[in-house]
Amino acid sequence: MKNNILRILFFLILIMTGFSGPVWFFIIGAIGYVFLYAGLEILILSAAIDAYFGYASGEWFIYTIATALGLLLAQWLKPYLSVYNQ
Amino acid sequence: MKKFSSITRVNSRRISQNKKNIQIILVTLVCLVILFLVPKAVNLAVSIVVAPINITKHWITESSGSLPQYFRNRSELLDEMSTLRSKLDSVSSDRMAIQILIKENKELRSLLGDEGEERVLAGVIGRPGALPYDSLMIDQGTEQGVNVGAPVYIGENTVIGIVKNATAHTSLVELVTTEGFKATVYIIGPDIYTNAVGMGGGQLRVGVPQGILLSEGDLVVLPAVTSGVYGEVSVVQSEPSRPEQYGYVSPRIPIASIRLVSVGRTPLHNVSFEEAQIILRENKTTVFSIPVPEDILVDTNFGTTSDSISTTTDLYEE
Repeated sequence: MKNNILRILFFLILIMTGFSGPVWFFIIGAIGYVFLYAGLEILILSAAIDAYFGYASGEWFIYTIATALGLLLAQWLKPYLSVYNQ
Repeated sequence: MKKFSSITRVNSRRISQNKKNIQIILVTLVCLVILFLVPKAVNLAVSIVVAPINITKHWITESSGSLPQYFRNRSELLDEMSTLRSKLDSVSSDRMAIQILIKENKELRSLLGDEGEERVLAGVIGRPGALPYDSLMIDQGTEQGVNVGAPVYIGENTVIGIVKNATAHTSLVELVTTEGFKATVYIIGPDIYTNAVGMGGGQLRVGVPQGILLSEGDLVVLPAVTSGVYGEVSVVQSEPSRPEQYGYVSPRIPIASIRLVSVGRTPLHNVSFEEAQIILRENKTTVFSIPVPEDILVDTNFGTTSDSISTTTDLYEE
C-alpha cells in the first residue's frame, strides 16, 4: 500500500516535470522510475510528451522510443542487478 | 528436488520476463501508431490535460499573490531585491531614471509593434533546456488573441519562432533554431542568399562554399519571416581540406535570457523573392543608420555643419 502511494507520487512528479520542466529532472526521474517500477504508464507519459511538444516538428518520437528501450534494458538487466533473487 | 525447484523458478521468471517484454513492445507500437495516425487529436487531448499544470505553474511563478510568493524561492527574491537596491543607488539623478523609463517604454512599444501590426505581449515561462524539444512556453493563449502560426518576436522585428500550439492561457513556440528547421537567410558582408538549418540551443548553421568570405560578426537576416536582423555569425568553422565552410548564427539576445516576447496577431504569409529584396534594402539602411543630429553629421550629401566626425552607412543605400 505504502509502495503504491510512493509510486503514484513519483509518477505525479514525473508528469509535472515532464510538462513544465526542468527536463533534466524528468529524465533522471524517468530513469529511476523505469528501474524501480518498470511500469508501462511511463510509456504513455512519454508518448503524451511527444504528442504535446513534438507535434508537427517532423522529428521521431524520441521520448517514447527512448523510454521503450529503457524499459527493455531494465528488464534485461534486472536479474543481474537483483542481489536476493536466489 | 531442490535443483528441480530452482530450475522451475528460473524458467518461470524467464517466461514472466518475456511476457513483460512483449507487453512493452506492444504498448510502444500502439502509442507510435496512434501518434502517427492522429497526432492532432492526441495533441489536443494532452493540451486539455496539461492546461491545469501550466495554469498552476504560471500562478506560482508569475502571480503577485501572497501564497505563490511564499512558494517562490526566498533567496532568489532577496537576491533580486538587493540587485534592484544597488540599481536604484546607481541611479544618481532623476534625469537618469527618466532616461531608463524612456528606454523601457520604447522597448515595450517596439515589442508591441507600435508602428506596425498590433501584438500581444507575453512572458516566457519555459525555455529550451528546461522543456523537451527546442521550444518556448509563453503565458498568453487564444483568449488573449494568440493564434497558431503567428510569429513570435524579440525586440522590434526579430522573429525567433512561430506559435505551434495555443491553449486558452498558454502557447508553445517552435524556435527557428529547432533542429531541422530550414530557412532562407541573407548574410550581410558577403551579401549572399543561402539556406540556414536549425541546430537547436539557439543556433542556426549556414553552409557556404570555401571561396566566399564568411566572417564572425556578419549580420544575418531572415527575409522570409522578419524585416529585422536575426543575429550574427558567432563562429566560422572552415577547414581548407573541405569544399564548404559553416557559420554558426546566434540571435542578438540569447534565448536563455529572454523574459518577454511579443506575438503577432496574424500568421505569417509567404514572401516572394522580390518582396524579400525590398525588405533587405530597407534593412540595410535601417540597421546601419543611426539618428545623428544634423549639426553633428558630416556628410557631403547634406553639407558639413560641425567639426565633429561621424560616420553613417549611406554607402549601403542604393
